[in-house]
Amino acid sequence: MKHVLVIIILCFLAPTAFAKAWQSVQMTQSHITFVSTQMGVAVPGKFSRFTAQVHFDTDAPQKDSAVVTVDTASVSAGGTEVDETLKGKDWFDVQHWPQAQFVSRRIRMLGNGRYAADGVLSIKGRSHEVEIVFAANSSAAGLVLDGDLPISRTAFGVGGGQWADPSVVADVVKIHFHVVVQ
Amino acid sequence: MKRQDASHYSLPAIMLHWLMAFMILGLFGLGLYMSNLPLSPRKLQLFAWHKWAGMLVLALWCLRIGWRALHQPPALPGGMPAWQERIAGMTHWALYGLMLLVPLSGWLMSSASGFTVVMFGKWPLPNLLAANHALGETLKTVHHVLNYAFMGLVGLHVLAVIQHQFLLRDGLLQRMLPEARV
Repeated sequence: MKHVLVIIILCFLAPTAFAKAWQSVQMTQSHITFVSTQMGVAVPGKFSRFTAQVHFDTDAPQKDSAVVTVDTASVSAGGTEVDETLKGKDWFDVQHWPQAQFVSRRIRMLGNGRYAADGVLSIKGRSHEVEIVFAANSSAAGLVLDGDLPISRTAFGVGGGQWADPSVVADVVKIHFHVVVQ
Repeated sequence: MKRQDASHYSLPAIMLHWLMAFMILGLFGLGLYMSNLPLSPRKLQLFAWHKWAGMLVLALWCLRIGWRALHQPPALPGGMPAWQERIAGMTHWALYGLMLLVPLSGWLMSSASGFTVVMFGKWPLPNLLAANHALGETLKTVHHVLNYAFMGLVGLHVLAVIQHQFLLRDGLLQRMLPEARV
């Protein structure tokens, strides 16, 4: 009896909780981080400045879209010398390429609160098709989108010159985003 | 405690002494060299190698101290003043102590600085401390100070050997050389 009641309540609550388009990104609660691997050691980093335009309707993902623009000069990964190197020519070359961007083409529902965004990621003037798998969970703060995107840094020319050797800094860098939308 | 041949350390003790002596001197030199390098893949490599070798010294220290606890060292040459024997004993224990504290402080420093020690790039060792930048900087100083104290004592140790070998000619060094088999 109790279970039936809970299910009935959920049936009423669920549509009100989900049937709306989420599009106001809460910047203070959102972040973009990444993990690189140096000599086998996972080293975290982050981009502290970015903008995101998200239109997300959990019931109609075919209309959804996301554009995320990252200020490459806001990169940090654990120290002034590292950060300055990352802004330099071999890495993000922020003078020539101040922004990196992801533009979605379509968003697909995978089930269990998981989605996939197909789109184009552009870093340092190089663009590649990517698929970002993410989870959407509603919380008191809004809808929380958590996703991971492993990328090949060398495919984007990030870490060239003496840094190209993947045995020191691994080619795969895992980008993680945590975006809260209301 | 096992009584040893009166004139020589046991072969395992001799091997551990010389192996660790060369590793420690090499690590000290490497540490000085790599700290002043500008950030480069080579620097990341050298730091990783320094940490791996330092952790090996720590492992060898455990073997050595265990062996030392079970085997009495040979007697000092006769005719040494009591104060010299006391200083020799104190120096030896301080050397054992620093052999432990120097790699341990390096491990603590790496942990606090947010870099897990990953042996040979494959096997992560536990982080002894949570990442904390200020503490990492303090431990860096601790690691440096302990190293200079260590090298100071090693210098004293070597001077004593020179005095015994070339001035007193009492054959002290023979204790730490493999016994000639007749």
